[in-house]
Amino acid sequence: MKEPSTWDRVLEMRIGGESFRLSACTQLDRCGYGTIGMWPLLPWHFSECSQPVGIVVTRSISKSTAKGIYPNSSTMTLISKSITGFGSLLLAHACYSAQEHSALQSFRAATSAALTLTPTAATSLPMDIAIETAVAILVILVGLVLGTSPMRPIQWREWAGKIEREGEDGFKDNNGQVNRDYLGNPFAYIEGRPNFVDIRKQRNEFTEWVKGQGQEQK
Amino acid sequence: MPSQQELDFQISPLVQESLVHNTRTLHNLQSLTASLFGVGAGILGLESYSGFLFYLVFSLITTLLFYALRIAPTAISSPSSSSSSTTSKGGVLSRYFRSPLDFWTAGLTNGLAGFILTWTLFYGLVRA
Amino acid sequence: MAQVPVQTIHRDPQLFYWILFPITIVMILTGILRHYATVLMSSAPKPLDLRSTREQRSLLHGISLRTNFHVLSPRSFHSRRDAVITAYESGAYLKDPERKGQPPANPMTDPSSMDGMMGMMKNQMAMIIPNTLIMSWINAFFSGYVIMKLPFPLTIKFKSMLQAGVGTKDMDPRWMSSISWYFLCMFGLQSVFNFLLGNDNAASQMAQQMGQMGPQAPQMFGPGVDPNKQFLAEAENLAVIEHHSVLDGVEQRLLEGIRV
Repeated sequence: MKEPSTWDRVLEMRIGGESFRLSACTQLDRCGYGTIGMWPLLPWHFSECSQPVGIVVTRSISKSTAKGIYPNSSTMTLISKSITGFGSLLLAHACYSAQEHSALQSFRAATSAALTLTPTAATSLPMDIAIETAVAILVILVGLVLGTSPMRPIQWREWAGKIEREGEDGFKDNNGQVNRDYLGNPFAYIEGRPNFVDIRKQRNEFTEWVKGQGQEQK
Repeated sequence: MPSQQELDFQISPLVQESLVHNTRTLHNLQSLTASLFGVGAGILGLESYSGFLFYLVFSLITTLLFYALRIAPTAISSPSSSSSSTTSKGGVLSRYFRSPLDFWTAGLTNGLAGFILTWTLFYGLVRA
Repeated sequence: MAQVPVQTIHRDPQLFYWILFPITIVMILTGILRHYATVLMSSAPKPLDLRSTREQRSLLHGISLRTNFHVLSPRSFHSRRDAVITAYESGAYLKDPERKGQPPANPMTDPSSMDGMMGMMKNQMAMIIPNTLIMSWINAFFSGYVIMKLPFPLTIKFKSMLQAGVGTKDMDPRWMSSISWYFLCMFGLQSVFNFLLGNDNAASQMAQQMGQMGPQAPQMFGPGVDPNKQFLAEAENLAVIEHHSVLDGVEQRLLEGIRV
């Protein structure tokens, strides 16, 4: 059996003192999201497996490609804010010009009304103000759209694959805060079962951490 | 036996939180931009039908921009599209929203009240 | 066809500074105030005692078993269902099993349910009091002014609503008085509050009213509901489920999925 890539979820089980390995068949959909073919791989399904099941469909995708799907959010915020600010300036200027224009119009109408007695209908806005308004709105629109927080996949498997790959990074809003309805990896309980904890690795990590602490103390 | 649709939901369930998040993001954007369009329509001094037409056109542009900038780029082309038989049905949009019709039309009603408010305000201010 | 002359009214620009802006600012500030008042006044739900918690949780257990039966294998589903149904029918989870057949207590006399009623009352008050205050404030100070012109034509029927307090018969219904600006603000400020206070704010009374008009969430543990009846109904719901597992035919689906 081929060793699964990082995205494949390997579930080991022990039945009668013998260890079986059941590889959940995770396929990758076309966006590179790890999707789990057999969805509810919950622990009680294994109670009925009498022999090892081993189907592995492996198609790996490098982490950098997966990261590239979403642009870095902090730079996006800066860009969006500056675009929105620029557009608002344009809009404010257009508003002021239109106001001045209509004030001028009514003044001229008031002075000429005494002479001609035909009240000139309010002449339409000059072209440049209209264009400026439309451009300003479009610019603000682009800024606001760029400032929205990224969408999240609604399919359970894509969502879970995204969490698995990106962790908390995929669920930050524009301020860099982790969104509060992010509840963590739905598979965490599978990894955390006592039988499957890699105690040597954790021990190593702990000794590393202790050493690091000791060096900092000095 | 369950119906086909029910079975589909059971096999590939939806994440309710993500759905709410997506709709809310879009809703926020639309109600904010609707007020903005009101400002624009007021400055241009549009009246009656042309004003509502302005709103219609620009809110469609908003949704279009949102689609083009936020949704379309996430669909990177994959060398193998064979494995996507279940996801490709309905395009990229179905990854984030349940029904395309909702996505394209919900914005029109979301921000109408805000639009009328700012439209009236700026119409009054500019044409004083 | 003769062109109808456009009515023009020369208005003092001071009207904007002393009527329009005050009303708008007051509306926005009231919304913000209402939001924070609701946040501050909302009382934390009281901790329930052990037996009523058990009653509620066991009912929820049955419901989640009913909605998620498809991830269970047939054997485990059946054993769970049998256990839950027996317990429901015997009334093992009831808060006080002696009062099984009796009608539920009057919600008004039950002190624990008064709490929920008070919360609703507070919300209602937070909505009604500012509204009446602002309405009477506008009526007392600003009635009778024409401040604005709507940018779209309306039928004559709107005249009495928009021009309340303005006794001019022939005026175009597009002209509106201060009270109608108040109504416009009430409907349209939701987006402003969204922007200022975040999404799930309590500022706009419109949203709250919408929520009340919408489909009421079924009162699960509210006062006046007989828990025994709920248990029996849930047991019946569970009994009629025809079990199927989501793993039925998974091999077939998998093979279809990886076909090249």
